[in-house]
Amino acid sequence: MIKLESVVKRYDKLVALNEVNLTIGKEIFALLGANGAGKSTMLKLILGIIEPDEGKILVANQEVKYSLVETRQKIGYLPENLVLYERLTGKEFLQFVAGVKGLGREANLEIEQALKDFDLKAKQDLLIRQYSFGMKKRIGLIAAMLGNPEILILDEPLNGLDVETITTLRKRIQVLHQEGKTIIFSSHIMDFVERMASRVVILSQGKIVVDGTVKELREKANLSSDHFEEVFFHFASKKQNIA
Amino acid sequence: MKSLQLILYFKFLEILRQIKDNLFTLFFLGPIILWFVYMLAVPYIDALAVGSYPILSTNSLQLLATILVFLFLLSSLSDVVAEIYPIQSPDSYLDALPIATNWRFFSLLIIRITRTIPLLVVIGLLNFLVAKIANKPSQTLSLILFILLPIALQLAALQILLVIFATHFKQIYFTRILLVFFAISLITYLFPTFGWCLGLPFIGIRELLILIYNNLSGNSNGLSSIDSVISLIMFIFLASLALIGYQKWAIADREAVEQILAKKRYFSDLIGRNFVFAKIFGLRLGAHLLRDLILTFRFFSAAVYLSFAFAIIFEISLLAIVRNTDYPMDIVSQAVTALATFSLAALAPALVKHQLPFLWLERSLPVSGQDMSMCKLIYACLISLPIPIISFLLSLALKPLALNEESFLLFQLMLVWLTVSSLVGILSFEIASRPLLAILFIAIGSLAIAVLVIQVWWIWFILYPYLMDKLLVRGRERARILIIGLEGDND
Repeated sequence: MIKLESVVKRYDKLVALNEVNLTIGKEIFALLGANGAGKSTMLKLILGIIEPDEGKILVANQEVKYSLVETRQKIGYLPENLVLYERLTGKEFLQFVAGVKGLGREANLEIEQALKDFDLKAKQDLLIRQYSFGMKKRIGLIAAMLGNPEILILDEPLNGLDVETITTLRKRIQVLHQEGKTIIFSSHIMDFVERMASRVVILSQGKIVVDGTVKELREKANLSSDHFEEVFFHFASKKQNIA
Repeated sequence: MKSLQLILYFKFLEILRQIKDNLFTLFFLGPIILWFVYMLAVPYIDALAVGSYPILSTNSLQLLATILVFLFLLSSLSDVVAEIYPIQSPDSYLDALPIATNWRFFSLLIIRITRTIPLLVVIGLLNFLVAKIANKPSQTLSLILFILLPIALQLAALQILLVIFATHFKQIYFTRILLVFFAISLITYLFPTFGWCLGLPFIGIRELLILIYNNLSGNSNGLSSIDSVISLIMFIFLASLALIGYQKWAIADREAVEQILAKKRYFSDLIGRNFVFAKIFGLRLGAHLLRDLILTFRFFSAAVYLSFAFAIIFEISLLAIVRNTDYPMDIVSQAVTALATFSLAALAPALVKHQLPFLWLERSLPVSGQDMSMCKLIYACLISLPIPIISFLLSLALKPLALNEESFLLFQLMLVWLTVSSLVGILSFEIASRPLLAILFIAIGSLAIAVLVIQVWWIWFILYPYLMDKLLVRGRERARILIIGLEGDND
C-alpha cells in the first residue's frame, strides 16, 4: 500500500505537486497528465529519489524518507529517461541490478527467461551501446521486474517499444496484477491505459483532477465521443482545471 | 557491502573495456607522440640549467602551489558534480536501487580516488625527473610514491567535500567558487601562516608542487614524511565530513543541481545577433560559429577556465620577463603571444570533443566537412584575437618604441597569432576523441612553426600559404570522416 498525505513539491516557484492525497493499493494504476503535470515527480517521490517539501509518503506503512533502502527493495522502477552503462552487456547490467537487489543465483534463471520473453536472448552479450533505443528500454523493463517486486513503477514504459514488446509487457503486467502486485505507470498512450488500468488518476498543474476507473471517468466526463483521449483532454486541459 | 563490491566491479569492468577500446591510442599513438615530444625536448633538457632559478619566498611558493591546486579543483568540478549527483549519466539508475547511502558514498570516494591517482602519478614522475636532473638522490621515486597515495586520498575527499558543501550552500557556480579561491589565495600571500592553515585541506599536493620548484631552483628543502601523515589525517577528516554531508543532503541537493542545470542562461541575446555572424561568415558558418561562441561563454567545460587562466598567466609572465631579464622585448612578446594564443585556441579541439555526442545534429543537417573545419578555424582565430592586442599594449607600456617599430611589432604579433590560431583551428579534428593527446600533437606543430616565424618573420609568407593549403584539405576531410560517422562518436 502506497499513501501520499498532503504532499507538496515545489521547484523554485513552480508547484509541481500541490496538496496531493492519494492511496494506491494492489491495482494497475495509471497516472496521466500533460507534460509537466507532475507525473514523474510523483513517481520519483514514491521512490525517495526526491523529497517532498511538505507532507508524507508511506510505502507499506513506512515513511519513505526514513526507510529508503527498504522501500527501494520493494519497488522495481523504470525511469522515463533511461541511461544505461554503455560498456556493459545487457546481461551484465541485469546481473548487476540483481546483485544490488540482493537476489541470489536463482536470479540468473529469471534473467535468462526474461531475456527470452523480451526477445533479447540473441543480443544479451552485446554491449549496451550497440543496442537500439527500444532494446535499451526492454533491458530497463526487465531490470525493473527483477526479483518480482511488490510494486512496479513504470514511467512512460511504452516509449520506443514495438508492438510485440508492448504485448509482452501487457501480459506481464496482467500476471503481476493477478499475483497481487501494485503496478503504477504513466503513459500518453490512451489505448494502453484504457485496456490495462484498473484505476486512473489525471493530474493537472500538480493537482489530482479526477480519480476512478476508466468507466467512471467516462461517466464523469459525460461525453458523446467513445475515444478515451477525449475523456483525457476533458479533464487534463488547463482551461478545465482553471474553470 | 555487497552493493559496494558490485558497483566497483562493474565500474572497473567498464573502465577496462574503455581501455580496450582505446588500445591503439594508449599504447601506440600516445607513446609515439610522447616519444616525439621527448626527442624534441632532449636538446633543451640539458639547457634547463637546474639550480639557477631564483629561490622564491615561502609565501610566493605557497601562493603559486595554491593557485595550481585551485585550478585543478576547478577543472574537475563538473566531473565531480556529475559523479555525486548523477542526473544524465548511467549512475542515475543507482538512485532507484536499494543501496545504502554509506555504500554509495564509499563507491563515489573510491572511484574519485582512482581518477585522481593518474594525475598524481604524472606529478610524481615529473618530480622524480626534475630531482634526477638536479642530482638530488634524496628525492627518490620511492619517497615520492610513498606520499602519492595519501595525497590522492586527500585530494579525492577534498573534491567531494567541496562539491557537497558548495551545492548545499547554493554556491556551486564557477564564478562564486573562483571568488572564494581568490580570497584564499590572497590570504595565503598576505598572511602566510594563516594561509598555511587554510591550505591544510590540500597540504599534500601543495607540498608536492612546491617540491618540484624546490628541485628546479636547487633549494634543499624537500618533502617531509610529516606531510604524508597530515595528508592521511586530513583525508579521514575531510572524508568523514563529506560522508555526513552526503547522508544529510544528497537527495535534496540532487534537485538543486537539476534546477541549476535547468536555469535560464546568459548570452541568450547572442542568438538574436545571428544576422551579424551570418552576414560576415555566411548563414551556415555563422550559425556554427555562434553556437561555439555561446558554448564557450557558458563554459562548456572546465577547459575554458583553464585556457583563460593559462592565457592570463602567459601575459603576466611577459611583464615579469621583460622587467627582470635582458631578453629582447619583441622576441619575448611574440613568444608570449604564441603561447597565450595557443592556450585560447586549444579550446577548439576541446569543443570538438565536447560536441562528439551531438554529432547526430550535423549528420541530419546539410553540413559539410568544409563548414565544420572552417568553423573551428575561425573560432580559434576569433577566441584568441585579443591576445596579440594585449601583448602589444603591454609591450608598449613596458618599453616605448618609435612608431615604425610599434607598427612592425604589431605586425609580427599578428603574424604569430594568425599562425598559431589557424593551425590549432584547422588541426582540431585530429584525434577528435582524445583532446589532451590532440592538444599535445597540435602544440608541437603550431608552436614549432611559430618559433620559425618569430626567428625569421618573412618565412611566414612562404610557409603559411603552403601549409594552410594542405591543412585545409586535411581538416575538411577529417571533419567529413566525423560527420559520416567513421570515427570518434562511439568513444
